[in-house]
Amino acid sequence: MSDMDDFEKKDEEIVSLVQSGKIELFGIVIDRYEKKMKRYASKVLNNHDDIQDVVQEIFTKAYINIKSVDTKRKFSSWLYRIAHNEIVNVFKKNKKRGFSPFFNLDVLFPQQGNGNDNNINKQIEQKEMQQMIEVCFDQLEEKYREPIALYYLEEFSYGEIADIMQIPISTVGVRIKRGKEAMKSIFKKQGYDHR
Amino acid sequence: MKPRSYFMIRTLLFALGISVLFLFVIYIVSFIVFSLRISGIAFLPLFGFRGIRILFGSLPWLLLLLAVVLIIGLEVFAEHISFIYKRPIVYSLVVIIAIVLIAGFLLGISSFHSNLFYGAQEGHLPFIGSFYRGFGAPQFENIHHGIVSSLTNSGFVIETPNGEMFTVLSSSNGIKNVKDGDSVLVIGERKGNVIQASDVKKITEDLNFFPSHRRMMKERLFNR
Repeated sequence: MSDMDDFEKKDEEIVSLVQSGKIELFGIVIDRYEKKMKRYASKVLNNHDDIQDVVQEIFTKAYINIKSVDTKRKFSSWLYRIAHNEIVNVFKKNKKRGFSPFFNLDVLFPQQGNGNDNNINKQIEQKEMQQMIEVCFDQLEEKYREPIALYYLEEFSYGEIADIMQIPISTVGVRIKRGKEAMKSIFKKQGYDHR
Repeated sequence: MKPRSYFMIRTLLFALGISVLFLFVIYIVSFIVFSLRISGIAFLPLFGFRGIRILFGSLPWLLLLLAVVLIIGLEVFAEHISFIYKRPIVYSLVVIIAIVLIAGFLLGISSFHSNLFYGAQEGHLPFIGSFYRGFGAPQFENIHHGIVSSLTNSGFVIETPNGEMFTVLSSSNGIKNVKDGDSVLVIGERKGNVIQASDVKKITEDLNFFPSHRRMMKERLFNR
């Protein structure tokens, strides 16, 4: 049984306890992340069954592999990485797009000036972007959805997104920038004013 | 729940796999360098445009293709390492290719392969001996590389890295400066043990990038 103190512990502390044998505490991990995982998956995938399957698979894989977690590092990045891999598997299964980084020019070649998220724009645009995401996210090209969702909804940094998606930091910057521009364009076409 | 040891072993195997692959690519590239020099192909540009044309036709394309495939495989493996995947692929690819080429070239010009090659010829090299005998010094119909063992009235006699002796006949000007112990590259048709040379180039000291091989061949030739 988990006591009340356990609920106040950080993710990494809970994971550490699960690793040491208190497996019942994995329930807290599920409670904390189930909604987030559903939200993340639903932003990238359209099929309801796929979303349910992915979320179930994420927690199954997280449980099986929990002992590989380095508790000195952020647990959520590790969990989102599993989520990303599961989403990639769904795409592969549906053969909607190739995920090989070798065939993406923005992964293959270096990009200039897009690897920095440490600016005030993020805060200013956060609300505006969240509003746009609600309205037109499903019309956005698939490769931009994940980095946009991770950045504006899940609030990960570029470095963390690079870790989750296993792509270069500069590529994260490029995709967020292009995705943002595409969303603004879609938003405008739908008759909204994003300014 | 998988035990921690499973992940530790997996990480160790990954590190071991990538190291072995790296060393194997370096070995293949160094073998290509060795094969080019011992067969004399590396010196073909000395014959000008004609030599370059023959060079392209004589390159060990199968080994080069294998090296390219292995380098791509190495890059795919390396993309699982965080400090590598966080940077554009072109960076890691350039670094991997540079390391492989530099290490391969240095190993290729060292005495490493020459020792194995001569060991293979003398039958002291199990397993990969036939590989060295067959692939180590490929023979091309019209290109002959060797050390001059004696001079004759109308030419000279060379010993190839494979230990074969050929009499070279030539009216070419290049033949005049040739003397015992010189490393030479001969272009010409071979009939039996006689080569009718159309061109001869001496691999002089300043052109010889592979002193270890030349020294070994000379020692082998004159210490019999």
